[in-house]
Amino acid sequence: MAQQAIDSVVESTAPRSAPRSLPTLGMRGGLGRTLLIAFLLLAIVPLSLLTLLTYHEIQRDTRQKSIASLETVVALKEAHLIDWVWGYERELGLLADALGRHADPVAEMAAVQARDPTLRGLVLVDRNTGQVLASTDQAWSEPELVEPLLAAEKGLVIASVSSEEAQPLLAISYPWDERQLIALPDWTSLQRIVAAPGASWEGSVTHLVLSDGWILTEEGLAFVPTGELESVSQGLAEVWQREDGSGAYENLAGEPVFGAYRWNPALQVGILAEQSQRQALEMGNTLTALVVGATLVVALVTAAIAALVTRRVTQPIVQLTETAAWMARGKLNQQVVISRNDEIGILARAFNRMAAELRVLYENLEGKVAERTRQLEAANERTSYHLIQLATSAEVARVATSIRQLDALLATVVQLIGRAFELDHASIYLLDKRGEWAEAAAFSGEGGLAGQTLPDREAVGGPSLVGRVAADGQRCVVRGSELVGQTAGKGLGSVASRSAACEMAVPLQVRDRILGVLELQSGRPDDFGENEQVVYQSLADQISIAIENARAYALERETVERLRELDRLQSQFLTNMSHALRTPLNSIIGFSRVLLKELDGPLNETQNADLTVIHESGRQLLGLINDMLELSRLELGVAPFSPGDVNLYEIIEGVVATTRALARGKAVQIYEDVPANLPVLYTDGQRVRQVILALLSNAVKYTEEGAIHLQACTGDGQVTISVRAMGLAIRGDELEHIFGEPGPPSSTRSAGPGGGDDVPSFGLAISKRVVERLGGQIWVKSVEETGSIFTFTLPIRPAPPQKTDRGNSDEPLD
Amino acid sequence: MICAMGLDLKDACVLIVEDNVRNYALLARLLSFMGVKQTEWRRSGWHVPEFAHDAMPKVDLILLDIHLPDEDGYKVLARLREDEHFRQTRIVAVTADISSVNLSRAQSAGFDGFLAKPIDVDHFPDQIRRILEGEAVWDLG
Repeated sequence: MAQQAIDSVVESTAPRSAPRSLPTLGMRGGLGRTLLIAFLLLAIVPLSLLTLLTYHEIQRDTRQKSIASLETVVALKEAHLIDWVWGYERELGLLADALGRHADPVAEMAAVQARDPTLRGLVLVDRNTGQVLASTDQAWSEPELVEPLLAAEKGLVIASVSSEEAQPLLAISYPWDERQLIALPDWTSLQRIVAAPGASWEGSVTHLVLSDGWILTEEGLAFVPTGELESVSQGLAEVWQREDGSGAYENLAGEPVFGAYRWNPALQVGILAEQSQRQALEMGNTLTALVVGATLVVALVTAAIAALVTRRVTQPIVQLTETAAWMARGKLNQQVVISRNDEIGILARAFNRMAAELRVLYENLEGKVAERTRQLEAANERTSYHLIQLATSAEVARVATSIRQLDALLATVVQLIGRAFELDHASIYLLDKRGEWAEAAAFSGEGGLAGQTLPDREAVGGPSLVGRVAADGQRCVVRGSELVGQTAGKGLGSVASRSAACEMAVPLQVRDRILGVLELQSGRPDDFGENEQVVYQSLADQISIAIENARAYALERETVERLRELDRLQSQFLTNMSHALRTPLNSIIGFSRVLLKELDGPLNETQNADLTVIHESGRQLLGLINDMLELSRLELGVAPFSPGDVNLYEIIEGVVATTRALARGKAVQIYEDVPANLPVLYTDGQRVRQVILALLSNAVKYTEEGAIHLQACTGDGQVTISVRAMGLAIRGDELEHIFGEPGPPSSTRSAGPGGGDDVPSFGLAISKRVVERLGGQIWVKSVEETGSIFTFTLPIRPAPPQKTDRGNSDEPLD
Repeated sequence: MICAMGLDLKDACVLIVEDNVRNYALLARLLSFMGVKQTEWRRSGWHVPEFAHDAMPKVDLILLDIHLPDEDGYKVLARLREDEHFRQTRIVAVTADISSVNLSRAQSAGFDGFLAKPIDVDHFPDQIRRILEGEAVWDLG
């Protein structure tokens, strides 16, 4: 049992722990992932920020450096340009000096040109007239050609020519006295300066920006219409506005560039140096790539380390968790194998220690559970015993109310008690009427089976257990040796069965009256303890009440039987009486009639008159006997009634016709006021007919002259029929008795003209009982001192679903 | 007197089952006045068929009292109806218990008629004649 209890404990906990173990095992990913993510965040976020910062720093640095270099290039180019212009000025100065010494201008000029291959030509112009005085080339001798160069100051002149598409003229002017020397260098020489590789910084491009839309690049001259100033690059636009500066912008080709520019107001030329940003930043990008790469490598290494560390932390935890889950399922002999000296190792060792303690605790618990189970079983046994007692009590109570026959009741009760309490023997003794003997009334068990004859009775007050208890009314228990002594001695209490270990007798008593004894024998020596005695006592009390009830019931039934028999006898008496009375009357009436019919010979007048009296009296006597019998049957409730659907109108018509025949020869008129649509009643038609006939005959009988009214009407769920006889007077004191005693009102009897017809009648008495039996009422009222109204009602009710002919059990009369 | 059925009342054989001798005397007297010559009497239903077999070659009418010693008229009727000897016999109940309940009981039991006691001397000859002619007479008196 204890094992079962533990099993049930384990079983009951197992299904609860099963769903709980799933999330524990599932935590394998949870903690590891969290740790990993934390590691990666801690490592990668700062590295990424650092990389971003570095990248920005490099970018800014590169840009500053680039712009600084470009500014240097611009300054360098400017210096070159000035140098170049100054070189020409010096040459022209020398030439002017030579011309001042009246040398041959053409020859001198040719010599100069010969020295300088980039020089397209030299022109000497008269400042005032604009006339070309001399030129190295015939092409320049046209004054229109040099016109835009006239009156120019000393220095570089870039003059636009009249036609727009034509390239502007590049010239160096050197005015002196009234004349002006103009050197016309080739654009390529200037272009060489612009494109000079030594002077330009790596990857940079330099432009010479001329005033009116022309730009000199390494490729040559290009025209950018100044009208599109907005759309050209920032550098060009600012240079054209004679501004210096630097910045990052998009050049004419739309490529992002760094640029530096300067406007030389003396030369009226801007210098613009640009470098492609892509190119400039190339080196910075390389550096950035290096930094990002390094960061990535570091991040990867970190992740790997983090994964390793996480795994090293979580794996033992998962192992611990799984072990815990197994333990939760009841497998307590679990051991975690983790041989480490760090915190997790400590945890594992603590866990193992805990598991061991748990095992010990659990074993203790098993012992405790076993102990508690044993206690519970004992309690259970006690409870079930109480339950049996309760059930038996209830059963006894049920039997007591359901079985009214005393013998059957007692037999059932002793069987019940014997079976429910597993007794060897149970019996009930009842005291006889004089209280001298306790007689065995019912028994169960071995006492009656084992061949030992049960003593029929015990003397009250005798030495036996039953005798003693029957005398003093105190319950008594006899055990073991006492029992043997008793058995061996005289009257061996009751018959103790061979295996009986103890015996108890409980008095059956109601109030202080002892009815008998409940006697019990058990094979268990410790039966009939204090508690049980109380239970048996309460059972005995119930049985006592049941016995009383059964006896009362028997008495009642006996009384009812006797009353019924009395009724039957009375009815039989009446039948016999009336038969006995009628048989001689039959002869009197019959033979007197035979004589009157002169079948036996002729009669003289006196004989005839006498015989008529005999015959009429016999008939009246017969009528009285019939009425009396009828009245008695009605009073006894044995008169036959056969209800059915009744057409009242037809009945009344019939009765009125009969009564009119009766009234023939009298000055009596019968009027009827009966609606033809009277409802069909469910009642006894013959009886209704009997009543109406009785009332009408009565009226006719005692009315010598006058009118009789019969009226019928419906209302209040009933039909009311009244007979009003104006010639029938009833005194006030007779009204009460008119339906109770036979005969007509005495006043009428004495006062009536037909005083000779002094025959009492039961008609009204019978009518009253019949009407009441049919569910109606009947009454009489005096009218105007000389008349009276007899009224009766009949209820209008539908036919019941099933006929209940109470009075049809009538015996045949003869 | 000749009946419509061709039965002369003189030739009619009538059996009266009646426990009261005076009642029998009255019935016998009335029948004899009518001209019936052969009238037999039994005091109870005991051995009525056997008696008839021996003493009466034919039975035209049985006046059967209901209230009889030993067994009542209904039981006697049942035995008579089973007997081939009484196939042509008219059997009439004569009783003092004249309730409608008894009348209908007699009808359903198989009587050919019902005469109330006391005997109505004035109507009796006519009633008997009608019964012998084959008419069912149900008289509640």
